[in-house]
Amino acid sequence: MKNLIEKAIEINNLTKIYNKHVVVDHINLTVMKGEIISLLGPNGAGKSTTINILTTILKPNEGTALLNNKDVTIDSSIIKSCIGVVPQEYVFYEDLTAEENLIFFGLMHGIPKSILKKDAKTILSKLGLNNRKDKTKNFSGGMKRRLNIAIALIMKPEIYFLDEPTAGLDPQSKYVVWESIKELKNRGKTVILCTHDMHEAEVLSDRVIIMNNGSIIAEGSSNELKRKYGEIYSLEIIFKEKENIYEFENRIKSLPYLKRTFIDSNNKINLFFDGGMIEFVKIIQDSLIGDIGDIESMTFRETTLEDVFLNLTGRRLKE
Amino acid sequence: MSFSTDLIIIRSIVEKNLKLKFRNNQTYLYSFGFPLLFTIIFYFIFKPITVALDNNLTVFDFAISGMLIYTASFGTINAATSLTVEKEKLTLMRLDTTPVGRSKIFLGTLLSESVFLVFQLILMFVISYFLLGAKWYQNDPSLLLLGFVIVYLFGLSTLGVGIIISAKAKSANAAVGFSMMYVMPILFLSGSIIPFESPIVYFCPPFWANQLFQQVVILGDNILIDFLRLNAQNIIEAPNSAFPLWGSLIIIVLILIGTILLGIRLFQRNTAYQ
Repeated sequence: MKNLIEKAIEINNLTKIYNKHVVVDHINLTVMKGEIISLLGPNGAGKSTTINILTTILKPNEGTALLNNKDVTIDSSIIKSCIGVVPQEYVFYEDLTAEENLIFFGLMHGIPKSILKKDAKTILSKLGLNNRKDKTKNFSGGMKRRLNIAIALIMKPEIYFLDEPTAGLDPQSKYVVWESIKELKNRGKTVILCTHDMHEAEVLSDRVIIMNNGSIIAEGSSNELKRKYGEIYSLEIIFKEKENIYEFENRIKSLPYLKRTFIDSNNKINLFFDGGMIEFVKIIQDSLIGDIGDIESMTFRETTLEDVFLNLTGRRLKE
Repeated sequence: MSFSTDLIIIRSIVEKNLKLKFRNNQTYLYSFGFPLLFTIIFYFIFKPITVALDNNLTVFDFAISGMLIYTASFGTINAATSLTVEKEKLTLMRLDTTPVGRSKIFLGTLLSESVFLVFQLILMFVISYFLLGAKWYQNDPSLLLLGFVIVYLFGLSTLGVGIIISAKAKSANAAVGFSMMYVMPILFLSGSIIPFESPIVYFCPPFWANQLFQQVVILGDNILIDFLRLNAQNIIEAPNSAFPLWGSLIIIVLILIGTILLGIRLFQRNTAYQ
């Protein structure tokens, strides 16, 4: 319990400017010890820059960032000993074996080799890499991704920064990585997760931070965000002809309970409602009466983080 | 971190770099294959040609110093690619998020390249002097050891240029390209491969190592009291200059210190995070 009271990260007015372009714009954020937070946002939202500042790779132009009460610009060497970074790219030595990579990076953290040898076996076994004794250049993409994470795990830091840790992974490998991240939480570690995967953010994190154009535009648990920024339900309709979508949109514009519409690619329209189930059915009946063309499919679902993001920014995360 | 932990970290970087080097096929081709190939070719071409002024010596005996200098010059390519690959593959950035620090990364890199250079030179000395029978002054082993030190120091001085190149090069291929563009012209302009007379040789670092090696190891000049001979094409009869022979060693050491310091400074400036 004590763990949750202490601050792991405290960011005040953090700003980063590249060539007169504000990449991170006066952001404020506090992360408690033992918390997993997800940074969500499209490319260029400022997530990676924020992480690079927190991991001492970049220097801010303005504001402060404290990790375990140490300033990233002043106490960088102390901070480096308590963080583990998983970059988006596969970053390790491809002519070394997985175990050699783990031991090498562990030694760079000042951990004794005897401990590393034991831990390396455990971690590689957990991530399903224990049977590979060859050079990592021969590994598949999924194996490389898992090794990328294993390197951070062996350092046993207090704060982990994971940048797209499951990008491109198959569901089975993704599950293995998720389990490892959940285990970190059980061990009281703090995790900052950068992801495009809304489901991943929902499943893993205590709090979701949504960034856009360098600013934090919303934060809270996924349920809080859905309540605050999402509509309760949404209906996704796919038409056979694109023209029918616009006609349909005009027809339903003034209907009650309808908060907004969003026309997607592939002849798809999303309707967001704040009414309940009964009202919903009424709307559907009303709006679909008449000649509006052939409908290919209709999906009725609860609001997701994706909808929250769409609501806040007017665009999809993966655009 | 304690001093002993620092030593363990530096040793780990050295071991890692050597593993990466010896597991890469290109290493065998560039660092061992080419120098050995040229040495063997030189053996067949120059071994039968005796030097007119000294029937005991052949052109091959003098050509060997050029080959040793050529081998040591690969330090430039090795250091340049080693650091550029760290940049290119982002491992340098990942190491920068650990407590290791750049000074240990540089020290580890320089030490691994120094150790690798020892391997290269031992192989070249053994093949040239013990297998192919190149001659040196009175077969005095201490002179051969001194010759080894001269070439080794020159080899270390080439590492600095490699670091300078790695500061600019964006990829390993570019690093190799830039290194070759520096190493080969400088080798030829220094007269180390084909001797020639021109003031330009004095501006090429390999000249000082080659001249010193030939005078001390092949002709038996005393490094402490003798002087630099002025005619590289006819080194046996060349008149002495007023420049002490040990001055050549000082020049090599100054180049070593200067290029390494400049290289580290440029690398740090070009890879500094803003």
